[in-house]
Amino acid sequence: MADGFSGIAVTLVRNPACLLGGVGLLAISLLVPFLGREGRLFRFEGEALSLTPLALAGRHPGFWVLLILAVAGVAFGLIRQERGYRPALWGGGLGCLLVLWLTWAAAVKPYAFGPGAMLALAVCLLVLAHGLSQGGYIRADTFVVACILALAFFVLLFILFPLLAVLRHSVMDAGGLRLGLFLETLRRYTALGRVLRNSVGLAIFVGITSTLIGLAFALAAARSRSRLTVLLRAFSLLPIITPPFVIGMAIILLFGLQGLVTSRLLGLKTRGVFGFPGLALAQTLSFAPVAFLVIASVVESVNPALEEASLTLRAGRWETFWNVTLPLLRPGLANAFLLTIIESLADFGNPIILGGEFEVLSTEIYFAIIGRFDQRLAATLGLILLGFSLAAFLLQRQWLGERSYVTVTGKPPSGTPMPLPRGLEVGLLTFCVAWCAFTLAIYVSVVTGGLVEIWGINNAFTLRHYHQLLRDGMEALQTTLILAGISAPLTAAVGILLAYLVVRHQFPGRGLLEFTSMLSFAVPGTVIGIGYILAFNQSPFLLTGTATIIVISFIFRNMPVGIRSGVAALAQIDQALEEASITLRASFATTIRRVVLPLIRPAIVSALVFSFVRSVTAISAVVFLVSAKWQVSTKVILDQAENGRYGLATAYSTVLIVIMAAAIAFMYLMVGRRPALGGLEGGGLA
Amino acid sequence: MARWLGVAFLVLGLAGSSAAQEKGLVLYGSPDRDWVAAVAAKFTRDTGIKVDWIRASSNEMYARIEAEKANPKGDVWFGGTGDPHFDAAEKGLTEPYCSPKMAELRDFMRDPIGGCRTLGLYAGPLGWAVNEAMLKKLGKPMPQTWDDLAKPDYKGLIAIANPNTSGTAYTTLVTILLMKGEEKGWEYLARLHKNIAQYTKSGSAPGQLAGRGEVAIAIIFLHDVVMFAEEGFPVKAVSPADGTGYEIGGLSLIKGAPHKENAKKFIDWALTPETQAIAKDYRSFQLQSNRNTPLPPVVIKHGVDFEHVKTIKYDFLWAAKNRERILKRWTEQIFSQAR
Repeated sequence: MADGFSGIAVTLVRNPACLLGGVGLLAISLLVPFLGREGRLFRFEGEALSLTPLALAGRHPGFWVLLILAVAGVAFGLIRQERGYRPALWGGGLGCLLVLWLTWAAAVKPYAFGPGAMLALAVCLLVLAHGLSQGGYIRADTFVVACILALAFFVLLFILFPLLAVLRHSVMDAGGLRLGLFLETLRRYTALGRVLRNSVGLAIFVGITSTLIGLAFALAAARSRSRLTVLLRAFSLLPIITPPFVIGMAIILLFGLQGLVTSRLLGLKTRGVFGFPGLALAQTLSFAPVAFLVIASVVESVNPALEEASLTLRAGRWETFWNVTLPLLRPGLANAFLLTIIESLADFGNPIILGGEFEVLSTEIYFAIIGRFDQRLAATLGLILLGFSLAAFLLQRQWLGERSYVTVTGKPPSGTPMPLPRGLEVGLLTFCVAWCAFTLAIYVSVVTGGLVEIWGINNAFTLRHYHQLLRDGMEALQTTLILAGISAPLTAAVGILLAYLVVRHQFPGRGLLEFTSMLSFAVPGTVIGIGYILAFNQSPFLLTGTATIIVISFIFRNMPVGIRSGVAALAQIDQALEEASITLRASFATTIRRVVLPLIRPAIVSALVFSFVRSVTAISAVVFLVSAKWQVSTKVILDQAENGRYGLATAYSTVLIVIMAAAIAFMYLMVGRRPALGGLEGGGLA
Repeated sequence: MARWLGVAFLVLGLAGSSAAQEKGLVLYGSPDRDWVAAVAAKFTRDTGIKVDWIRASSNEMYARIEAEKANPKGDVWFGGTGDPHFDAAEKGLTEPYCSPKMAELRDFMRDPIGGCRTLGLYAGPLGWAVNEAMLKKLGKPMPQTWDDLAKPDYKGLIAIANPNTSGTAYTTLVTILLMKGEEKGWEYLARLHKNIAQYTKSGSAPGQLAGRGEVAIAIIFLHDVVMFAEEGFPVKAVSPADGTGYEIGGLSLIKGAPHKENAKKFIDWALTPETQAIAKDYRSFQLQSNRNTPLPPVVIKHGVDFEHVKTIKYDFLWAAKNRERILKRWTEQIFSQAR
């Protein structure tokens, strides 16, 4: 392939990617242990050198191929070639497959994958990325392609692989693979029709109410000149920083048979709160803020110039609002609706407390695993739930269509955004304040619950719950904060990066990548939890019992939030801005840092805040991943609530809420204030 | 590229900070969280062996142990309703261990399903938590027998856990089926279902509801009634006059335990009267399995000890073997019906 001896004569490096890749692989082959002992990835106690690829080659001849590949890489690096990308392409691609195959083959009990395997894979991915980029297969630079490849790999490993592990149960029994098994399982499950009706009906209802409330809050917060807007923002965040079953508990305390509102104030004796009404209320309380965060970041980035143009053309404020502002919010609305529907379908904490006999898919899956130990039924129902999420996702695409929602064009936007029509503003503010008051009532009852002996029975003031908390709960609290703190920036980074790649770059499998990333959001946590245990409790990818698996589950469960807000924000920013920056010879990194990031800052903030908070309040998946060494707060709360110690549970919840509120304030300060309204012309565009 | 490697190293670092394989013990506990924590701390104090522990309800723990079976993480499964323990033993998730302490155990808890496959840790009879004030206000009589509970009088006044998630509720199903025989038993369960106001997830949660006046009667274990009463909830422990079933809390050695020797040491230690005596300090009022563990006076005060409660002959092996069938039939034929 190369033109032989003439290349050697010149001592210049001909193909730096191949050379670096080859040298890297060689170094790894000679020095870094490819495998690790189960459970101790980085402590080798003297056997490190016997686990390098070179040492392993005796047992697994495949490792010789890896060494040959490394040497070939170095050689190609020094030889002149016609098409320099080809060796990188082939070498990198082969290398990736080889490393994965070797990991699979060699990492068997008692060994698991080790640092060498990870590094070798990283090197091969980079080389492959270089090849793909240089060869023009993906039109982007090496960095972007490497990101795409790495994300694709992670998505495969941490979303698809565990799901396949679970789903395998739905079509495989002792007799092998049988597709009919799926239908057979469903036929035996007589409650299916009712459960489906319940789940879907509830999800659509909650999707509509949450989106409407989120829209009201977003408009009021972003467009009203009233000072109440600060209050709205703060209040709207409250429900997300709450473990979901706490809202359920508070709703029972307020609206149950002995509820403060229903029984004491209204004199009603009703158990109506269990089932659909209570559940719809609790889920709306929980998910409207999600809708708010998504819609708000879109409202903030609507270019005022369009509204101004409409006003200049003599349209009234109402007309402008209906025909210009609202249509521009469609991506945000669609995303909010989709997110809340999926959240409602997968929600577990509320139905388990408030569902009563109103069965929904997520709890039925949980019951199937936890109660009847029927993983096949759980997997089968999980498939159905995935089907619904898929439908919601496709619907959203259809609805958004191909229309352009670009409003940030780089041409200097003028003026301030249009104020809301007067009547609308008053109406929205009234509604929002009322909703806030309601939320406040929920929280007052939570805080009070932690300060009295037994809520409603013995209302004497006491601090004993807090004393017990200080004694027993601090360790789990610390673990939770550390794990959530590590996962939040990673989640935001991965999510926004994925959003950026998906929106801005064309590459094969783009839609698939986006869809798969959204999957983990749609799958009930319980199923993901079981999937992770099935997939990562054995070689080669042994991760259970570690903090890593908890962090990874946080990242991949919360990543869709980052993706959604990133996609919604990026869809509004004209690509011409980045092209201009590139044309002016700014590097890719500079473009990202100076142009893209400042424009999508609201999306970043919401992704950071939201993933931190979701990690702290996560329960359904993490319940299976916590280990004796790594325990989280929500599990402690659930344990205590289960034994009727609501005092302790609510005290603990109160502490969590306070910490998360502080963390959110801190994050806003760190990332910087959101851009002032209409302030998009500043900074990076100058 | 540098940045990307940075991220990679961060992930590596995280993975490296894990690892729990050195000397120690991993305890999987299913009873009250505070009790499990105290037991773990005491074991470390007594033996110097470091304990990592985690608490999950017995059904959740079963699912965890099953999911982890290719690479077990836990050593001992301490406490929790017996049925999942027995089920796990049947499925080979745990392995037999004949502790030298077995001789000291009460006969009915020594070896509940034979072959040392699970040892009895404690036992507690099933009964009702009754909110007397509420019953009086509604003008309803105190129920005496299981048949009373199914009378239309108590419609919408009873809570019980969902047997799909709770060992307590499953024990209730088995108790009824054993007492009345299959055919009449299912008939009875269908009638009882009409009276249920709410099915909860956790076994003891109905006691909570009765205490708060959401329902008047909760079907739970009697030692849990004592716990709620001692916590300050207005509930009275009532045992059915026509007899009732009971649970045996299991103590099992997990198959493939990473610290098997320590696990055996722990099991022997957990069966001593000194260890068992601390349960009552953590609001766990079951009858402990060692004959020499004193019965806490409060249990006698509430009249829920085995001397005062009429118990039936409960067949644990039958309960474990028929679990799937019973739950399926209950869910499909009873739970799905309107009330």
